[in-house]
Amino acid sequence: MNRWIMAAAFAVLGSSSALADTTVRWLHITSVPEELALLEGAARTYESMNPGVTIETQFLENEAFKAKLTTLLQSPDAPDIFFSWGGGVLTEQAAAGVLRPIEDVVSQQTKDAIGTAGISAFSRDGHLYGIARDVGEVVLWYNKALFEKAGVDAASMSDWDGFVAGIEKFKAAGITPIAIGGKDKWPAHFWWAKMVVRLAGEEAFDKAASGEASFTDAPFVAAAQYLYDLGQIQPFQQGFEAATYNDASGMFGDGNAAMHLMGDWDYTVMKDSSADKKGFPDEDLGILPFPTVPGGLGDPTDTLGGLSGWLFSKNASDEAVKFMEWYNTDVALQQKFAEGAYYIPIAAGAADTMENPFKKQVAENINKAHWHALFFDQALGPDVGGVFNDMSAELAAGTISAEDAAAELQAAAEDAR
Amino acid sequence: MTQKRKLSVVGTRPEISLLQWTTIGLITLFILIPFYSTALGGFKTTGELRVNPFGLPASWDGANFALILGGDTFFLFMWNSLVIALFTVILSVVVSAMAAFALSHIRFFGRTYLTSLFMLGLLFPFATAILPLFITIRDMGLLDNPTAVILPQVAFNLAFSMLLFRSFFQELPIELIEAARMDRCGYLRIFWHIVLPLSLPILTTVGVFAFVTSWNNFLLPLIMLNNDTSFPWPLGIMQFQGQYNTDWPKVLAFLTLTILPALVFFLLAQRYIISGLTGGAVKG
Amino acid sequence: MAAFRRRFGDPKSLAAVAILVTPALVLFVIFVLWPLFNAFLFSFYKWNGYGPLEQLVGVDNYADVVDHRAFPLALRNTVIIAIASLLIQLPLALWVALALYQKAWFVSIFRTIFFLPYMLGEVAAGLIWKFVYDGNYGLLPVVGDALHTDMPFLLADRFWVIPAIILVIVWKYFGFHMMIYIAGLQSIPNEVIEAARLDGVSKWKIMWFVKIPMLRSSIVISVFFAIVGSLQLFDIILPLTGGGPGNASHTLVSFLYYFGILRMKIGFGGAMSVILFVLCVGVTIIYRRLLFARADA
Repeated sequence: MNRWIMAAAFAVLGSSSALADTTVRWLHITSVPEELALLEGAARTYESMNPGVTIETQFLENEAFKAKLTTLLQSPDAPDIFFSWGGGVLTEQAAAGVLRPIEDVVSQQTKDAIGTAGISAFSRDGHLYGIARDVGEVVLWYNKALFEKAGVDAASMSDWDGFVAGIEKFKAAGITPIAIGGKDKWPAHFWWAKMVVRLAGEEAFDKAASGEASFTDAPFVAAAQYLYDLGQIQPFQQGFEAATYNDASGMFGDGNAAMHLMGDWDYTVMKDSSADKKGFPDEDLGILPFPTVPGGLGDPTDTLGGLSGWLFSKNASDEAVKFMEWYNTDVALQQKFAEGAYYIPIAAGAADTMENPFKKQVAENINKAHWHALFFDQALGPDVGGVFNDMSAELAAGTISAEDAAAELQAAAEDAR
Repeated sequence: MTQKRKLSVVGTRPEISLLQWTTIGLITLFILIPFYSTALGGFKTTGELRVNPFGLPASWDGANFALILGGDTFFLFMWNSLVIALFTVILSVVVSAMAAFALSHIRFFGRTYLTSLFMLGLLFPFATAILPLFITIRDMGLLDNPTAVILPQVAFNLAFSMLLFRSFFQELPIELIEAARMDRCGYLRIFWHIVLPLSLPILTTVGVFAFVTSWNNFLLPLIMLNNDTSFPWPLGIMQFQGQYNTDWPKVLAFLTLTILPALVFFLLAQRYIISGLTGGAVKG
Repeated sequence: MAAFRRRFGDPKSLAAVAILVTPALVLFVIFVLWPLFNAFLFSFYKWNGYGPLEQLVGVDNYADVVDHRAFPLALRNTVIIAIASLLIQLPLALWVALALYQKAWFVSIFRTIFFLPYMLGEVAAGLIWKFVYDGNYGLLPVVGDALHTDMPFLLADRFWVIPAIILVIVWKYFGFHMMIYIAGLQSIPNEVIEAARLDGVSKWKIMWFVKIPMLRSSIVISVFFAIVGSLQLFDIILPLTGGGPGNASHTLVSFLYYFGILRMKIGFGGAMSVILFVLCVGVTIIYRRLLFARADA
């Protein structure tokens, strides 16, 4: 409301006074309090370094942000800067013309600091649309104390048969083997996607996504079948279909589930979502290699995760871009995010001081990866990605067969073309 | 006759059978328990909630309430809701009273047709038109502006408000208006100087109704407003719930605080709401 | 009357009409009729809301809606909810209204309590019940503990989720129907009931043969609101289940929201809007027919 009054006041006063000052509106989805404090602090620092620039932060909670994204960008009041996971969603936004190309503003220095992977992830048709912020990976978090309690040896779970046997042991011990936020659906999509990365590999995925091949091809169905079979042995917590990501994260953080397949960002979220805001101690936390399956065309080093950053809406000012260049490439600032283990910054040198062993391991995984597959729901764009999520949730619940799920996905892909 | 009827009402004690009393007792519990545990839940800890959701909290720890009342978003959400609701009320009342008066007291070509056209609005929910409505509002450049919620709300309120006004206006003594016409008084003046002053009860009823529907509206602001600084409370509470997902006591405290003013308003305005429902409903 | 007829077409009156009716008409046309027409128009196109409307796809969108995995569930749920609110809510409301229409101070307290949830925002009601049903922290697991059984996670259970939603609907709207009946009952002239009573007619017979028949118009209204309310149910679903588990608790409007609006499939959403519109108008027309048919007989 204050903004309407302000807007009205500006309109009355005329634009002369508005020219000197620029307000940059910045929409973020950060809810962990300490990380938020860093982010707000950075905005204030930039303001003090650049008189005349006001940074106004806006916040949308993760699910609300995704739900609003489609309508958000069509508003004349759209934020200048907003978070993005890139992928097909970005492609569609760029094609719709709601984004501002920024290659004319971004300096070579920034491009060098971000690196080629970061630049190409946010380029479409020869234009640069965004500034990359971080890389992330979906990993299988596990609770060592619960493994010990159930008498499960983590090493025994390295292949699928061992994994299934371990799950049975947890169930026998009365421990929930896997926490999952089924209601939000995208947490379920990690399971299918991880399997696709392993069984189909980069080439087959790209072909299916572009229409040269089909999602009903054998590796995709086989990958779906693994998730379906997993669901059949009921490894998830009771009521998982009504649980959100935060519910599942909190459950794992409280030490009430042995495993959680989730992005590395969950390291801070699992603590923040736990009942005591601390979660269980780090020495009991581990990253389990995703179980291997026989066959498969994917490179074993391939990872699934994100390369996220910031996009600029159509009417964004140069100031907005300059602010983001500073924000993402200021090494000292990004190091703070790395040290707090909120995310792994992409800017050159920013992750060097990172000491968190989990984050270091993830950074190493991504470095070694031949293919760092982007979250499929983002990579495939809003329509097809949405169906991928829907189908993953249904596979986990056992309400659709692997063949039918693949067919639905293929139908959506054809429809979107 | 009326005298006798009144006497008999006052004289008889309500006849309520045991079975009805039992039903009423059970329903009272059914209605109140969720309110009760919501109000108390805000004072409890998450762990306490699990073992003792019905009982009194171990300590009356108001930290959750203080946190919400101390933050700036709660009052912002309430203020946004209030602004949207008040503008909706004013516009709804003025626009529909004017139209309803013309349609019930001025004879002109196409009057019945126009009346049924407006009444068409009663038949379908605005959810049916929400996507094209979004496109219309977007093309008008009104997204994220409170008018994007206010104007469609007024438009979709028209049918019901006009129904209420029409049945009220039709009961106004026609002689009054005809006499004014004889005195060469124009319809606008009749409306302003004669009809409106007589219509205070129905104006209040329509206003209260418009207020309540606007206050509780969710789908329309959900589609039209993206900026959290312009959120009305239903969007605000959904965002809060998404953020503090696992922290039920905080969510319950927020719920309690948003519900409270609505309940107070309801107790004050109850009479008008009920007369609107029954007046509009029974005659319509 | 003659004076009125002479004024038919009087330019001054017409000017007054124009001034009085135009604001309402403009709002109505822009925000009600035009979007409705557009929904119909868009439903034949494939469009994501950007650029020109040019990809005509015929009735593909309608086929996509009907063939969608969640559509039969959404339709089924809407019908079940409508039937349940007719069969559970209305008789209950009537039964309670028969007791509470009488005038006494303690009676009006109960009326206020029962009407309370109706005033509450749907979103608030949905969240309150999400808490009640929550399998970890809600009221239900405690009830389960007391009964020494494990309560199912109602909102995660494909079967129980619909009864759970129906219970919330009864909680929220039963008081509204009760009020309609109370108004109807209070408008029955006392003499009619007194006369029957003096003739020695039993209380039950008075209820069945005097009170309920005289409530006909209230029942007509209440049935109409119950059906139309079920057709547009959305605000409660979103906070409570978001349509889940899977698609098990989608209603027609939540289906439209999740698969049309959120994915900006405007043609798909348009087709769904048209289907919803046809259903609403269809129900109204059929309902009126039935009523008039009965009135004629």
